[in-house]
Amino acid sequence: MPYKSQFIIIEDNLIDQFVTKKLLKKGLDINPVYIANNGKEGMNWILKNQNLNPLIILLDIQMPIMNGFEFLEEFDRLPKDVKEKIEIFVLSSTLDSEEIRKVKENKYVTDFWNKPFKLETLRNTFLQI
Amino acid sequence: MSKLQALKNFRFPNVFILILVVFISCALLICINFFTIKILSANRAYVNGESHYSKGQKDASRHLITYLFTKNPAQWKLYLEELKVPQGDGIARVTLLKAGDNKIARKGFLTGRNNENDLDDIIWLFENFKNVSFLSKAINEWGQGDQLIFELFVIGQQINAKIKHNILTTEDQKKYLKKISSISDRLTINERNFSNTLGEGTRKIKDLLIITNIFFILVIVCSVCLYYSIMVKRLLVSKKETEVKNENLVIVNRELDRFVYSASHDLRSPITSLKGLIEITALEDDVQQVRNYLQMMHQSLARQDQFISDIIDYSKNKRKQIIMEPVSLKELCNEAILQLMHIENANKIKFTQELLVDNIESDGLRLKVIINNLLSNAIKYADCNKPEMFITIKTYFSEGLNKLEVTDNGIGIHDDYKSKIFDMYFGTNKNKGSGLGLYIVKEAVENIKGDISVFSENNVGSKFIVTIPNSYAV
Repeated sequence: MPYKSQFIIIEDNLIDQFVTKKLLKKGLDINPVYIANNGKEGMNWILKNQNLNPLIILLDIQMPIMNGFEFLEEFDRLPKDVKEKIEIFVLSSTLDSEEIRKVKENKYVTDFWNKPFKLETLRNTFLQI
Repeated sequence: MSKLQALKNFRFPNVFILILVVFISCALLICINFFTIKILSANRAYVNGESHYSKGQKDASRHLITYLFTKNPAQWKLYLEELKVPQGDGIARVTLLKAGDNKIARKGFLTGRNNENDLDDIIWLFENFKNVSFLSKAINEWGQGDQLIFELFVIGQQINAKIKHNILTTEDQKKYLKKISSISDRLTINERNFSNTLGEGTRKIKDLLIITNIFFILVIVCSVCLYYSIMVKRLLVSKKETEVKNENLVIVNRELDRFVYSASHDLRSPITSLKGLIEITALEDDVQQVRNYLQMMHQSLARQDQFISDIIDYSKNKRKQIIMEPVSLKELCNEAILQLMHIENANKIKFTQELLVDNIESDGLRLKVIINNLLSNAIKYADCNKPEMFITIKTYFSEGLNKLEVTDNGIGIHDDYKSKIFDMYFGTNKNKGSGLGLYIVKEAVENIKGDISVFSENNVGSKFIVTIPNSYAV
């Protein structure tokens, strides 16, 4: 099933990158899925690929160099028309309720999922988009 | 720490000395006051006794003169009665000088109309102070007085004899009257001198007493003040120590919080990766792919295993006492390389060892942690794009210190990160490490009072130099 949106995974853990990518492919037949190893790479990718199709970001929190929160701060500075086309889902293995609250309160974050996310969640969410 | 201990040991006897000074001063003050009061009271008794003595003598003289002119036997009796007073004192003086405290002396003083309750003080003062200037002078005057009393007694006997035999002439009367007055005059001088000498002594003693009282009270006040100032100082010091300890505790707590937070995340993330892998494995039909996934699962578990062993190293490093022991650097390096060969690409790297220093005295555990982590970093961050990857381990003696050098031609460290590499949980690629390794290395180096420095160029390679003090005394 083809999607209008592009997908990018911002995640430092190689195995998690692989797993998420595989799930998107297998479960939703999404291809290509872009990958960034940390917030900074993710931001660079967005800046390079502005004015493209709508984009869905799967964002990790704990990453070296630029973590999820720092990425969200940077994201805030992007032009409005770019932000409008982007939807962010945060994916993390954190159990810290304070951190989860902070993520959920962020206006750019559509939802927070605990790792590893279930195929079911993926289907329920993205099939409606 | 040892300095502080010495300071404490030094301070304790100080305080005890002060307390001892206060105690001794108080005891001395009490003793001195007790004896001074006793002396003053005895002096008063002496002056009192002197007044009875001189009254007795005066009355005796008066009765004798009356007897001389009236020949009334009653006057003779009264004369004898009154004369007993100075005579009693005289007997007491003589026996005291000869034999010390005795019944005759006490009886003599009682005859001298001294109060019975004063006797102890009078005799005590006489016995202990008879050679002290003021009392010996007074006793001397007293002796002279007694001599004159004896003369008066002799004159009395002569008068009495003459009256009894009726041979007293007017001439005699005049002569005796003159003698009696002269004796009386001389006695008055002696008696006055006696009182004055005692009075002077009393005043001197009073002055001395005031001075000693002031002196001891000053000593006590100063000691107490000093004691309190020392206590207050010590309280301040211990308060400061507590504050420092509290601050350290706050830091440790914060560190612990961060540690727990990061540790829980880092312990959990391999598990979530594993769960994800299991999920995609369940969707996979291709056996070859499943094998791939299994390989990844293995990697994930290895990562968790590594993290746990890092935490154990961290805790050992923190808690275990430094133990100086003979250590072989060669053995440590060989063990480390052998243990690390399982890391990807490790077998493609050329290891070179130039160990000029082997056996040293140091803490084996810390050195093992340092060498293991530095080598594992060198292997993990090797640059696979280079045709020949190498790691060189050197030990040598330089400037009085042992040095350990690990050099590689790996990916190097970006300039932006150089200042952060020793921070807890800092890592540029969490797929390769926990971010604890170099933090633990730094702590281990600090534990053995050594030093670590880094020379690195991005994409060229890194060199870590550890300085190991030759003999580090705890």
